[in-house]
Amino acid sequence: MTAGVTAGVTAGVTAGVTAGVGTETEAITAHDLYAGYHGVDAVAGAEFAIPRGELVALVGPNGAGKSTLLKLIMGLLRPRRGWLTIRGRPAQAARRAGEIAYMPQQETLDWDFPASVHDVVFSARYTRLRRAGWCRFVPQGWCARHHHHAVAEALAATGVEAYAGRHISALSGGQRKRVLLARALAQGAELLLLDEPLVGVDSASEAMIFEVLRDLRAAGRTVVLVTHDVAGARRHADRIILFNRRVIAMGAPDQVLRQELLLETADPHFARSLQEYL
Amino acid sequence: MVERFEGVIDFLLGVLMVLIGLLPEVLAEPFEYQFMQRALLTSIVVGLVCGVLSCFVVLKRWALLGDAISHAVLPGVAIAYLLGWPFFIGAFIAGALTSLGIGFIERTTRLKSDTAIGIMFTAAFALGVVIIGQIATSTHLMHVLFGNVLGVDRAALLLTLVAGAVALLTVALGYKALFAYTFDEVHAQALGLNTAAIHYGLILLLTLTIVASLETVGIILVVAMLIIPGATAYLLSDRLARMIVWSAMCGVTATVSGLYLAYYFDLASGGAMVLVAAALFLLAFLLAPRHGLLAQLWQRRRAVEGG
Repeated sequence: MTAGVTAGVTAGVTAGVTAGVGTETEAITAHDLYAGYHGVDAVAGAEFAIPRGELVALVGPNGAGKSTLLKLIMGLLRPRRGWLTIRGRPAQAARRAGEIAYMPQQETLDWDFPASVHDVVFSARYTRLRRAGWCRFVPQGWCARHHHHAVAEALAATGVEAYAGRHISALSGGQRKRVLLARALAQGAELLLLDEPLVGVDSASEAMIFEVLRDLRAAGRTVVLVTHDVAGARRHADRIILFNRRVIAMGAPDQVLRQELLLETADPHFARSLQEYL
Repeated sequence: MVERFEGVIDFLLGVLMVLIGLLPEVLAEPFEYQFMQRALLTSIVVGLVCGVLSCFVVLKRWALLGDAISHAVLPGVAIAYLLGWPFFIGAFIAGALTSLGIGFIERTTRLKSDTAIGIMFTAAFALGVVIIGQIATSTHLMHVLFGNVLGVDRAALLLTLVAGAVALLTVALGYKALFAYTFDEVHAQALGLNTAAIHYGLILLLTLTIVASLETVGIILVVAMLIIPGATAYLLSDRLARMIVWSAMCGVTATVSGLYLAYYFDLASGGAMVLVAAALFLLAFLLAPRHGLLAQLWQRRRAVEGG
């Protein structure tokens, strides 16, 4: 493996191609990662390895490149330099194989869309249906039973099974979060990326969300959540990544949330806002 | 190859005549004429396909894009006319080029999509106007502009049937992918779907539908059939599959009623169809059970009384 890593590094640096190698035991491996838009690097020199089966919180100020990093992990953006792999495979290949579940911020969606809660959660099964061949071409009701079973389980785990038949516009903000979480669960992916899952969520919903995430970790899944809720992250996450264009610090919450590291994010307002958690 | 399709046309017309035989005398009478039989079959297919596609136009907010593609088809028709090609080939190429051009401007400049659309389709339409000005006005071109379902010949009927079958089959088989793509594009990407392919595939289907509808409703009005049925269905249903069914029914009702109006009162067929569609929308707008105006007033009043 070591030889492979070295080869990947050399190739990545010299040729500028994304041909890196991580290891099977690492959910995400990034090396010397540079990427951005319009010639500005939103991510510059990020380097980290997230082991499988961990609950990791990605914390950083606004404009720190967290969304760009999520896009890199999903393989939706090509690094300008360096590489990123998912369990040793290029991110794009992992995404195409349906191994990455993504929970967006709910503001990005049209909640008047003509769909029920069940429809939305079922859509996450598409990757599995495709593997089953003909199933993706026929109406929902005709599909193999285990897909509906997976949807029912996800709905139950997030406590929205009672709303399964309801139109999505009839949901409250917290319920919408739960539905999007259920959709991410139903995909049955190894890696879950959650973009601000705790914004606008009351404490009961937050506790429920973390309970679901802990169950996932217990099942050996890897969860990465981008969050501003440092208190929640501190209480529940195995690991916090303090991020500002690169990894400032990574480790157990108590190690990372230290004064000198926070100041190193080069954003005094952000550091001050986190002071209360020290 | 063509002979085999001829057989399909005859078969479909035969089925249609059996069904017409079940209708009361007054409604069945116009279809003694062969041109009316062809017009009816064309109208049904156009209403069906426009209805299905219009759901995606409404949900993706592509109303302006649909308008753009339909107008951009004009230079293609004119050039095909000059070269003596079948008009639908020119129309399809022009429509596809314009939609690709819009995407290209959007991706490579800082301009937003409505501006890119506005530039491309007005330029293409202007080109069409200039070319048409150079050639003597022809009734055929007028029919392409404004549609004339009563004049549909077997070749046009065949084109409409094939384009309609392709569009309907694609939507039926790709329904789940289209659902994921239309509701949440980023999630569809995370699921491993090739959203760029779906995006351009949907635009090509739209172009195909427009081309198939040209002789029926015409370039200027086809976009109405791609917006109004979907908008009507959107007010009537809360599930995508049901919305598609409502929209298709609305589309077929509009085109077939429009055909009757055009026949009995000697109206422009395209205009008559769109007016019926607009009337259906007005009905849904006022009377839709949950999203209609009256229902909303009623709910508000009850809320006030309750509070």
